[in-house]
Amino acid sequence: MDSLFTDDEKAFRRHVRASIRAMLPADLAEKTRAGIHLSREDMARWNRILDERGWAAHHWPAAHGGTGWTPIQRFIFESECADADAPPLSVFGVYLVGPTLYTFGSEAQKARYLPTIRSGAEFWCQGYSEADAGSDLASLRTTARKVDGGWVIQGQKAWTTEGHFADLMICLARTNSAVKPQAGLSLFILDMKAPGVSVHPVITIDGAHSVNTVFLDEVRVPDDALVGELDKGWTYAKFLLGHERINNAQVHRSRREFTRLKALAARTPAPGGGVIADLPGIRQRVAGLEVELSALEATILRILADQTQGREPGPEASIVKVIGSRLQQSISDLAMDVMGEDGIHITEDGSDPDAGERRGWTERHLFRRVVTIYAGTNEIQKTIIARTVLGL
Amino acid sequence: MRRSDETLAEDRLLRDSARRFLEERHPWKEPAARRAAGDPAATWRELAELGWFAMAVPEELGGLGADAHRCLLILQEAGRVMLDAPVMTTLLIAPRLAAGSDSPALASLLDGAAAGDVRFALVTGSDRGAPLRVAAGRLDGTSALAVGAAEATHWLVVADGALSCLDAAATPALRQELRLIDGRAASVLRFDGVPVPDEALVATGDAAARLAAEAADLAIAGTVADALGALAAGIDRTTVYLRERRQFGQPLASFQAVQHLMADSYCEMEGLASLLLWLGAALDGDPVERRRAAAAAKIFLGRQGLAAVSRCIQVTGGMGMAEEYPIGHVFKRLQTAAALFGTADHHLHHLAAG
Repeated sequence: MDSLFTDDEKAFRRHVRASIRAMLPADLAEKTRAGIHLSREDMARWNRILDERGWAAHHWPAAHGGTGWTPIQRFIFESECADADAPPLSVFGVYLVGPTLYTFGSEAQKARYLPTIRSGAEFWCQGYSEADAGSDLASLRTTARKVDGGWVIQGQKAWTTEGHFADLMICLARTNSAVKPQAGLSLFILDMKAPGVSVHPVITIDGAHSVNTVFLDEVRVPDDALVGELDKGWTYAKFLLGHERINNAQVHRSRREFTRLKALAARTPAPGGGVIADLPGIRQRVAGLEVELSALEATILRILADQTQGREPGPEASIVKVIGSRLQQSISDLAMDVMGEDGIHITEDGSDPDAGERRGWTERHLFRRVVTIYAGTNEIQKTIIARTVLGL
Repeated sequence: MRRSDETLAEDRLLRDSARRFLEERHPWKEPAARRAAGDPAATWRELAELGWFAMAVPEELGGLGADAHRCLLILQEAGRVMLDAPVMTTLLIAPRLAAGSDSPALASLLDGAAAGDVRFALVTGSDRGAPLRVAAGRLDGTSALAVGAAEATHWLVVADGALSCLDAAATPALRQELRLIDGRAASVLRFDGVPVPDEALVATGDAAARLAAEAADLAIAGTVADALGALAAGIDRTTVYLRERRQFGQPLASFQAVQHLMADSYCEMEGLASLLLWLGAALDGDPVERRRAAAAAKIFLGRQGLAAVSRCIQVTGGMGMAEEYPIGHVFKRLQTAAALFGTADHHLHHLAAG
């Protein structure tokens, strides 16, 4: 897709590619290839390496310790990170909480939290969803009660990714029940080690522990834990979800995984001789996915090119979440067909060099059921498109 | 390819004026009503007055030097009203091939084209009949469907061995005139040892092969642009209908099942628009990337594009089935586009092999 980039951007790509290859430790790349859920230590290590270079918060404005890169430059950087098998950064701190705090937080909050988000010294989790408030987030029931010198938070958060190793939570709680549901919510910063916080693992269908249920039992937070204004939490949370949208298309990871899948297919023997990659049906599906991936990349580049020129995307950005999440699933669907029987058993076979690669694909395939669900299900996104873009 | 605010503003002006003109002078009508109305030569001169046929001509050849993106915008507008006049070859392909060859065979006709007196039709080979071939100054073989060949003054013939520009009136070809499902006219041309004079040769040998590849990708770009315009107009009309039509005491637009079908169509239309944007940029660049972008756009049109317009028929119910209502014609326009210049399966096969 070279013709969609300027010469300066192509030079920028060569520059970051060389830098990332030099900075990324081989063992971290190896771990990224092998599994979908990385440990805190691994993510923090890469975060620290990037921070030393000033690239950890690469999409933040320079005034807050970011790079000041254009949206297209960020796209290039992220694509080079994915191509090099760099670990993903923890999505909550750098991608979600950072932008929320530098946009709505107090000076004290910025000074206290932004540096440790950049360095990866502190990890965050997101306390939005609840057992009875998923897509219908505004119906959440966790409350924050005003007391002398602070607030007392009471409730229960569900599907809290990375909650078991996060230091801090950005927590949405009800502060006013006399108004309509969206109007009575506020955003708080909550210390995960505070008395009353208890974290219970939820094992997902891939067999791994990445999400949790978090009980908040009379958790006391100080006055300065409130982000922005009281009862404005819904506005801030929506801002956060807007930031998530393009990121949730996961286009770079899809491109990288697709490349690796083609390589796996090219060395996996086919029943009856030859390799899987040469079966006509597989070739056609690979070509079809290549087209869909190109459509996604070109769509994201269209939106980012607009942003680079100062035009903010509208609700049509919802389409990249819908297309991108479906594509992630289509790629792992194909992986399962490439692996056949070898993709459905979980016994370790140390003698097979591709055993780890295959296990990674199976885990991803199972865990990826979630991508059409989280960050606003695809059905919610389609309703947004129908109502706000098409005017239905 | 990044477009400055100024360039974008010019794009918009051009698009808006084309849209106004087309909606006023050539609004969509049923094919039967269209054929009854108007003289193709007059329509052609009218479009020429808008500068359509000078826009892609390089400035050094006396044209306006517009880039591919801008030409594709106009073709999208033509697609919106499902214009019958087969303008793609004259507007986009001939000027670019003229610029890419050093022969005067094409360049000398561009002034006439800009004035609306010369009308080109692209004639390509078919993978079913005898291949088009120029050898020892003679053309043999059978063409694929050549849209607009009957009303063209000149045929731009893409054959093995040579790219030539033949005077249609002076060329003894066996013509089979056909009506396409979208209402346009097309011809299958058979050539039996037709002499190709030197002055009609645009390119031979490697240069001809290079221009043939470019012509194929340009034809796909123009076809996809036309189809995208038709699809966008179809989705617009469908959403208007859904807001007006009431069933069970409420507008069809209020049903979530209907909303989600249309959201899917919208996602597919935007995906197609993105691929066309890429193709438009790639037309000015490396031929390998250009080929990939063209194949991707054509495959996406044949799969997702057709799915998108099929849903428009589904949600408009019986109206979508009626010949007097435009949605079914959008479907036929896209189905036609999907079959011309290689089906999705054809391009998928080549992409998979390469």
